[in-house]
Amino acid sequence: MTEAASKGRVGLFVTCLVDLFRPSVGFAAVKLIEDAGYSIDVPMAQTCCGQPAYNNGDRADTRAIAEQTIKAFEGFDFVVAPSGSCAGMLKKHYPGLFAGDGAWEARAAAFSAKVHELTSFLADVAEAKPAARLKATATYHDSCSGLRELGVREQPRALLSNVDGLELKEMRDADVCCGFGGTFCVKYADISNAIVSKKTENIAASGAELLLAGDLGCLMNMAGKLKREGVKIEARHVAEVLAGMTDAPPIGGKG
Amino acid sequence: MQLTSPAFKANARIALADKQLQRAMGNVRGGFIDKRAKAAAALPEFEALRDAAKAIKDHTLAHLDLYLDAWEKKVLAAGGHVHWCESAEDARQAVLAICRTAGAKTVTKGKSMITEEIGLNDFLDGHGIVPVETDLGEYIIQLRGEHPSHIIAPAVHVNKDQVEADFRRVHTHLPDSRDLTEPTSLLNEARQVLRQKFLEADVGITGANFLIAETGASVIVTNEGNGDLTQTLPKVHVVVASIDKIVPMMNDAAQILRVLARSATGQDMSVYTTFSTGPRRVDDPDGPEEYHVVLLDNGRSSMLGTEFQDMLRCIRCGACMNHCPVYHAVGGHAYGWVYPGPMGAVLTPSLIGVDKGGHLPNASTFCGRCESVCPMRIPLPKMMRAWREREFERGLNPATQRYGLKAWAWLARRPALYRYLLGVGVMGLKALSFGKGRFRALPFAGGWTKWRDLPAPEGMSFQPPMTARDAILGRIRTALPGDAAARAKAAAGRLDAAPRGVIPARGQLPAGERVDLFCRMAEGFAASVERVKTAGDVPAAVSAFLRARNLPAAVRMGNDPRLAAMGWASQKALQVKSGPSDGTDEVSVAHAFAAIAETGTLALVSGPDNPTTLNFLPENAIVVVDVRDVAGDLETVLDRVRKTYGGGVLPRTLNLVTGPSRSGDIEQTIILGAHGPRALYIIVVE
Repeated sequence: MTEAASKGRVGLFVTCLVDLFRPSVGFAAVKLIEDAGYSIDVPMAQTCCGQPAYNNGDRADTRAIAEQTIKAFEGFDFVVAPSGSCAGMLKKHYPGLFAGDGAWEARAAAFSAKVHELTSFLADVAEAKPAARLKATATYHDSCSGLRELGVREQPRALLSNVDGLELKEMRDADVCCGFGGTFCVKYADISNAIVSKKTENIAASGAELLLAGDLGCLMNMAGKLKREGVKIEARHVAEVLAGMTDAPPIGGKG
Repeated sequence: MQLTSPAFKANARIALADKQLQRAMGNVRGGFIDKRAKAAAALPEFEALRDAAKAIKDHTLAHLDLYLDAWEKKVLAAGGHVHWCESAEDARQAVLAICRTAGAKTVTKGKSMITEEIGLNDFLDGHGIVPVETDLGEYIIQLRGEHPSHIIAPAVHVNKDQVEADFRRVHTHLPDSRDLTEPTSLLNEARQVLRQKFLEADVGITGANFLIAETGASVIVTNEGNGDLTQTLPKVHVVVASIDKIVPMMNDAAQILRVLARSATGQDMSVYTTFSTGPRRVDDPDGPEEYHVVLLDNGRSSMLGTEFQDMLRCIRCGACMNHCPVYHAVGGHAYGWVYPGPMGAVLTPSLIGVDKGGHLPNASTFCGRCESVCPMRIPLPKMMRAWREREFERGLNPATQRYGLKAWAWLARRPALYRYLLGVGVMGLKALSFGKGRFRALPFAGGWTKWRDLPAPEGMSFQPPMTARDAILGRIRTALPGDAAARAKAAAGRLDAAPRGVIPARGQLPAGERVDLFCRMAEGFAASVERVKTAGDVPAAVSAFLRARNLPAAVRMGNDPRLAAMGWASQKALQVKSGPSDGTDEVSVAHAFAAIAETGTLALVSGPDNPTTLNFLPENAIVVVDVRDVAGDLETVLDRVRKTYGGGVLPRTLNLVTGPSRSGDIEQTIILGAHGPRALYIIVVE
């Protein structure tokens, strides 16, 4: 797509987990954004949104990371991330890091205003109706940051309702935390395990054969637990289904 | 209580393996969450009320010194006493001194987290005074030698069969063959055992949900009625409350009450909301002869002006822990101190130090559900992160000389505390000189005493020593920004006006529909309602009620002229006794001061006309309401109180009653008749 024909320039914030563990989510996001009529770029200068430092009290390093991210993305019309957690960090927490710092404060605010989580970008901004096919029953987990910081709830469900052959079965407590919580899952592994065990119980009870969510951290946590429990439910990022890119093995492998 | 917060990880492991606990925690996940969601959805103004409640507390905290001062004046004017306490130890000593002066052997206690915070029970026990917890949940855990695991449902970690075993172990005067399989039979047994304790106690100790600057009242909110028996029956009523409980006006309490019970238990109103002001009045036939407030700071004034100030908005509803996945997984005891869950994760490091409470703000996934349900919109995850930042900074900067200077600079910016500590230091130095008037050597002063003696101080500071009151108020003033005169003007202005805030549309109806709504709401909260044409029909309705319930033909009532004029002689078989209840009455009759359609609530005032004991001791309470007294909302009733008694003045007790007494402390099953009346019968006179 040429720049002229595009509805705008999107910078894709890949997120470190997608980059390292599941690039196919990134490819799916690129396809969805391009199909919606936008030009897309993936700046090389990006690393991590800074949450591990931020949530462990290291404000100085968080700010250094944030400056780097803002510099890499401030030239785009939109910044889109396939994660409610990372998008929430860029959108809701970056401005506070620069509070009272004249020029940077304004720069951070301008940057944050352009940030969107992928499904809300597609549904609310692009008003896209991606057409895909997948014969499956799926259940959707609302990741905490996307849900409570960004209000992402209806958007992924609306987009999924256009997927031909897909039936959505709501699980109980879909809006309850899966127990991932970034470094929480290793710092307090026992508690994290108790929380994710309740989550997988609800996932299994939904009767769905496919678990979908918008955050890879949560998905790796839930998929990992389902695998350990020997439950035959597959897990995928919602972008993979919406883009019709479900050829790759599910998260955590087949079977 | 023993502090185990530093061992949070080990506590959590034990909790996760505890099958009884895990079964009990299932009751939290189910009950509280659904009930709150339903109650919030049923009130269109709920979100606006959350904003209003937050704004009230923000304003109050910004003028805290002024409202504390105004409140104290009102308490003293009503004949009460205020004991300002800097620390938990000061508060314990203050309570002990009151108990000793009263010659107390046993004290009854209403449910109160602040007395857990100061470790009052163990302290009193150690000084020969027996504390008796009377809230069903608190009673259960006291028998078990435990502490609350939840701030509103203290025994939420205990299952029914465990309660049965504890009752059989302790209540040995009762037959072994009795059936205790149902929650109702457990509740009845506790009611029977505790009734005697209420009547025997020398002192009653409660906490407070609010302290009201407008009138000097303390307010408690309960469902069982135990708090009211605790504060009405003994000769002495002691309220233990922290400085953050202040609100300016009764109307402000009315706003916050609308989000409190909904967020906590999903009720529109808790059953009993009671305003207590001073001791009993000259012509009151019941109520305590002394009224004391032990007002505690214990670190709270130091939170003002910091990133943790917002935590002082907390109204202790428990919604944050009810919605917390970590709390669900490990229960309250794992947190290792008084306050569990997200509010505990923020508050505990403030009160006991982040070095001991540091695990708590770290043990969160930041899922944000706590903040999303907090009625006071406290940014709990943000504050947990702030604690992590403080810990991180400390890790980078190990204790160095710098700290000494920094501490001094910090102190120098707080004149009140500076003076206080300097005063203590000066006294200490004087004592160390043993009357010699100089030192040859002194730790940390080697540079001076190597070459010369250090003259000892006279033992007093040029500035006079300070009371706890001055120290607390001084700290607050120093922490709060803004011009003193402007702040004083804002607070005084607010105390003069009685802004109404957000009034739900539900009760704003024409007279006829308003009475219909009152009846419907009251019945919804398990009261029975009968409407009669005239006041003269009331005695017959009372007789019919007694017959229908198979109750003896006897009632007790006060000297209310409206009741007296109803013509009781027409009921030949009915015995009418007058005066306060002594605990043996089956049925009481009282006349309501007013009623509130919005929530089906009765308002009753103390005095010879309607003694307060009639509202709580009898098994069945009959209350007469005149349709002209049915208001749409609580604020209208409070206006009428102001008009009747004069602005800023309250009768000893103003009771708001919404349905009969109840408890959900055994496995979250609601059972009627915990400590107050089992049945509430309302007669509406057209």
